[in-house]
Amino acid sequence: MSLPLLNYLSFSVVFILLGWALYLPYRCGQLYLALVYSMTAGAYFAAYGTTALHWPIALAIVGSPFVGAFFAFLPALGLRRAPGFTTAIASLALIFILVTIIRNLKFLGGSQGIFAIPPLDYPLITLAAVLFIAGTLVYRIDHSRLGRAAELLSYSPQEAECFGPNLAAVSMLMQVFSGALSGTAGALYAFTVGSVFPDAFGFSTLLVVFPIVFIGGNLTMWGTAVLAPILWGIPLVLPEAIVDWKDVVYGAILICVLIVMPEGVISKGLVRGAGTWARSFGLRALWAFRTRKEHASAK
Amino acid sequence: MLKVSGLSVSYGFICAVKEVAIDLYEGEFVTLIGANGAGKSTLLETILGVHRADRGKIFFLGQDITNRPTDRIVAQGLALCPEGRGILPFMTVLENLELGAFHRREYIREGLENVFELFPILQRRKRQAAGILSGGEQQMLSIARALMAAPKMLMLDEPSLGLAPLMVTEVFKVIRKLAERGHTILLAEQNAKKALQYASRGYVFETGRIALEGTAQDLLRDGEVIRLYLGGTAKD
Amino acid sequence: MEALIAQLVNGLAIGSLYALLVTGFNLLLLVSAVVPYAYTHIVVIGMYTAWFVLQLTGGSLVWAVPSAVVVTTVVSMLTEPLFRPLAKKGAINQTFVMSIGIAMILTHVMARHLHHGIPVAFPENVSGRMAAFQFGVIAVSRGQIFVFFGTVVAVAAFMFLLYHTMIGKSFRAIAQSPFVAKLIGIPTVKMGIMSYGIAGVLGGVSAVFVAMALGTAYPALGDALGLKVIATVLFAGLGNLNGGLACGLILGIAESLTTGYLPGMWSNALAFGMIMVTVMFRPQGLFGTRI
Repeated sequence: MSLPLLNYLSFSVVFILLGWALYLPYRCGQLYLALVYSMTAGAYFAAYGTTALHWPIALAIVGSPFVGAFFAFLPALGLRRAPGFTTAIASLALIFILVTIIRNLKFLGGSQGIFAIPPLDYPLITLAAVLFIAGTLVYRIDHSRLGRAAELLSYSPQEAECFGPNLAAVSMLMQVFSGALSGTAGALYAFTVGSVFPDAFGFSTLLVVFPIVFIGGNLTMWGTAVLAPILWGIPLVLPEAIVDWKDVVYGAILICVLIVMPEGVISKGLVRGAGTWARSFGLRALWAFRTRKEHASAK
Repeated sequence: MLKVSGLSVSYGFICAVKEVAIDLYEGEFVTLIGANGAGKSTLLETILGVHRADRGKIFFLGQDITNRPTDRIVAQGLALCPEGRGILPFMTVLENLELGAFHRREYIREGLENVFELFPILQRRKRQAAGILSGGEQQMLSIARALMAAPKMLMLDEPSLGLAPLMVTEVFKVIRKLAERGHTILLAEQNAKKALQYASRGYVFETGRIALEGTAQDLLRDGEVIRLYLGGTAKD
Repeated sequence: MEALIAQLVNGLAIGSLYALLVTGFNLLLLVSAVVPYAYTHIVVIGMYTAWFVLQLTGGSLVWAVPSAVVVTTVVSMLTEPLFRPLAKKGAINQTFVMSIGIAMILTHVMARHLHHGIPVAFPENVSGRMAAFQFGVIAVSRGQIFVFFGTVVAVAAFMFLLYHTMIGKSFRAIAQSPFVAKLIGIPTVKMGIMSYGIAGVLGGVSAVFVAMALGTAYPALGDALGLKVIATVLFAGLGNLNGGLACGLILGIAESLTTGYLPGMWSNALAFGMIMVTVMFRPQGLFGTRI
């Protein structure tokens, strides 16, 4: 497998994970932006573990979601009750705090970062496995009582709480899951790029995730999965001149979509419609098959 | 002055106003009575351009004002005292009144004189925050604020809501005074008895439609109205 | 001791800058119900404009200042129609995201096309680094004095607008209750547009003062200031004008003190940390939200 293609796939997975990490807390109405914060934690964990401590890659990958979750857990204690927008700012601040701290820690490489991180041994399998496990988890959460509780909360927290779901608990859980996903994304990033340094983790990563989630559909998890590879892939195939304007294009698309299609391209309706269509297609096929059999036997 | 025909307004799937037609002529005092949720507020707010009318037309002074922006409609001379008073609690009485004259700034001084003469209590409290006024005083403020726009037609939505009976009478006396001065008034009220005692004509609203219309006298004597809205016995 | 006073003086100047930026930010938050993260980016564009005009006219402040104000006002008003559909729905989170998108675009434009992304330096006479007064070791520069009193004047003018003009009163009315304001007959849409305009004017004025205080402008400045402003607003309480002023000053002083006593990088993190802690223990902000 060629290296560029591998990188493309790896980054696609990274962004899918980050997209889901943004998506989950948004389901309960919280704009949780600490993805990059947990991602940084996961990335540095993997980087330091495999270089300085000579851990096997597998250990780093398995450990990274827990690291990410842990880092998300601490602030979540305070943020779970905060109103949606406050969470946004505070979580944003976390990125800066962590990056600044790391920059000042010599054993983590300071401003230079950590280099020579070994690449994945079995990249495709690892990526597929991670994606599958993460996807299953997200799907299960989404379609569970937790997911429905979250959706209820997104409409109006005070009213929703009268029905039972506890905003603090739900948002805490969502934030922790988000942290786990981002931590894993961070580890994958580290292994793909081969080095981590403070400047790599900043606002710009977040800004790539936004369009993915908001265009991809902030009400369904499939939107993110579909759009991450697309949005990530487009700049790679465009000619040099336009690639330069990538940021502007992402920004413009984001703005347009927010105005025109707030649910994103892959909206709930679309997914439901697709599901219905698929079911009806299956039923029709089954029916056609059965009647053909009857015709055959009637002859 | 005001002609509403075939008006239908809905919130999503719920049709709040169905095919309503009312007329108001200059100087008239007309009331809309009906239970809570019958659609009176929606009608008044739609006339003011706050809600979208799905069907029908609203004409004011011969001009089509259906679905026009609210501030244009107010500038043309229509004012509403909304349900719940519609005052700005964190601004002073004076500021509330001044804002009422947003479209008639030359008129502010004259308007204030007029309003303070009608409601001396407001003059006494003019520098206080509107939120600390009592219910009755807030209602006075709401009416005064509407008058600051020198409206050609004044609409009032449930002015008696939450007020003690004595205060209700006070408020209605003020409204009658305004009517006597020649203002055209459209009043939506749950308190049917009071409303019909002061108004000259009335429409009865029931789940979004007009069930009955006539002069106030006729409605007061009407059996159905008495049974449903006036407490039962004709002796009242 | 003298060093401390010097830091305090510096802190007051920087603090007053934050206070002015926060005021413009709060205006948009209150009247138009948007989170204008890109506000500081527009301010930086104003700074770049001033620089270009200074280059073109050979250092003429008379041309530079008004052009900065005009550009920021125009850009600010251009963003209004973008926010309108979201503000109508009351989707404040999404306005934040939208604002980030706009900020992205502006930063990109600055990084690639304005002076090739190289930081611009404002000439000495503008940045006013020269000392005006000297108390022993403490030097109070012309720039600091100008910035501080300039922002005081700007804020005072804004408060006058807010409390003694019809436009200002209708702003406050809309901020308190958009529905009632609409019912009274206040043209909420027009007033919204006007708030973008006035915020733009404040932004242009801020741009001039930031140029004086910092002496330089660079593409990342938009984000750097933006985060601080938004964090201060949160710390003070969303939409709390007076609180925002106070907290802007507090932040300025705190930053100045920590820069003096802690290595550079930490002062930034400290400011954010301060804000994070407040957000976790008092989410409505120090002085309470007003939106």
